[in-house]
Amino acid sequence: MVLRLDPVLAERLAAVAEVEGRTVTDVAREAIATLVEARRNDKRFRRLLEENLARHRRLLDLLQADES
Amino acid sequence: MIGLDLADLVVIASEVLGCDTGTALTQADIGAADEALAQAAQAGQARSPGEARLHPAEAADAAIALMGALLRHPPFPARREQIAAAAGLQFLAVNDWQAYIDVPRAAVIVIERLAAGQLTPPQAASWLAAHLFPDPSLHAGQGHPLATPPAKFPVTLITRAIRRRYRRRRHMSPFLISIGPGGGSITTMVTGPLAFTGHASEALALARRESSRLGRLRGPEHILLGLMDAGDGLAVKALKRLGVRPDAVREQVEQLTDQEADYPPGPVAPQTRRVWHAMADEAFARGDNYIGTEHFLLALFCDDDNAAAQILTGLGAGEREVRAAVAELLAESGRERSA
Repeated sequence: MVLRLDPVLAERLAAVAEVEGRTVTDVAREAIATLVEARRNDKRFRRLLEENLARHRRLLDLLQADES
Repeated sequence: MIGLDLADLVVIASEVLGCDTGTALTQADIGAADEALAQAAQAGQARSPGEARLHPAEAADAAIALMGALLRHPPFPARREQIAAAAGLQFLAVNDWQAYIDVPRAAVIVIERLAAGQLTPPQAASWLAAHLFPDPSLHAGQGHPLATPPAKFPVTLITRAIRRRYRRRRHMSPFLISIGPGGGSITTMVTGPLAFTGHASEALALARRESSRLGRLRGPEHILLGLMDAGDGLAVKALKRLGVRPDAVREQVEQLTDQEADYPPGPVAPQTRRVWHAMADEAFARGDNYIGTEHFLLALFCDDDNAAAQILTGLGAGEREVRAAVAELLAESGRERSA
């Protein structure tokens, strides 16, 4: 996984990975998963997403049909 | 401006793919997502500084920049166009804009051409900007860029209002309607000029006359009345084929007018703005380089709370029936031409 990280953040990530005996990729993925979980629980974001996907279902279906 | 981040993309993808966020995350090409978001953020920095709310042209620019970046660096390559579209629409929503895509096939063409490099980002953004409306869940009168004072007449005023707003921001107006004595056209950056056919011009002139005569302006129902009276265009033929009588349409429109159709203030009802855009999209989606009465008629079905569509549906000419009748007539006229 290639991620564009602030050098300080990259250093911290490497330090955590070393201390915990894991790869940097694992630690980064876990951090992203935590962020994703927080976003999944963001009620406004979820409501807007659900409304959007329902409103534009036909467009998304057409795009899928053309892609497959 | 509220931008999207990696977590947002994963949540969007999980909904589009129909899986949980954990599965979406394992499927994601994080590096590609990171690259796409970085490119989109760079493009988004070009907007006017110091304003909390995005102008529609800026919102469209930023949404198209995000979509373009996700098409070039797809985090979910198998569904890249779907995810890019969903992300663009979600970006607009979190920034209080809604895209009204009344002719989905036209949007598909725009996205596919953007992906193939056949449309430039400014062209695609111009198309999208013309389809943006403030989120109706927001209260009116909050100084939204499209909140406009009441005015008298739809077609010329909508054009002037759009031109003014875009000129102020030094953006090219995304949608121009030009109407003169000899006809007129709709011009967009994606389609170029689409000239009205003779029947369509006549329908438009009659719609203007009808709206003035009835003392009410702006509604798609006036376009319907104009269509019914405009000679023997394809729309009239299609409606005749479906058994719709002009007097029945007129009676219903006049009743509706008497009941004071409930349009919000503005130079034109939002429903009518959508009809104009849908008209151009119907022509674009069908590969036509003109706007005929059939595009007017099909565009009337662009949304459910449109009085014209409701009247036609009540008379047995719903969208499906009308589309089928128009397709039949076009096929017949094609056969006639080739015979």
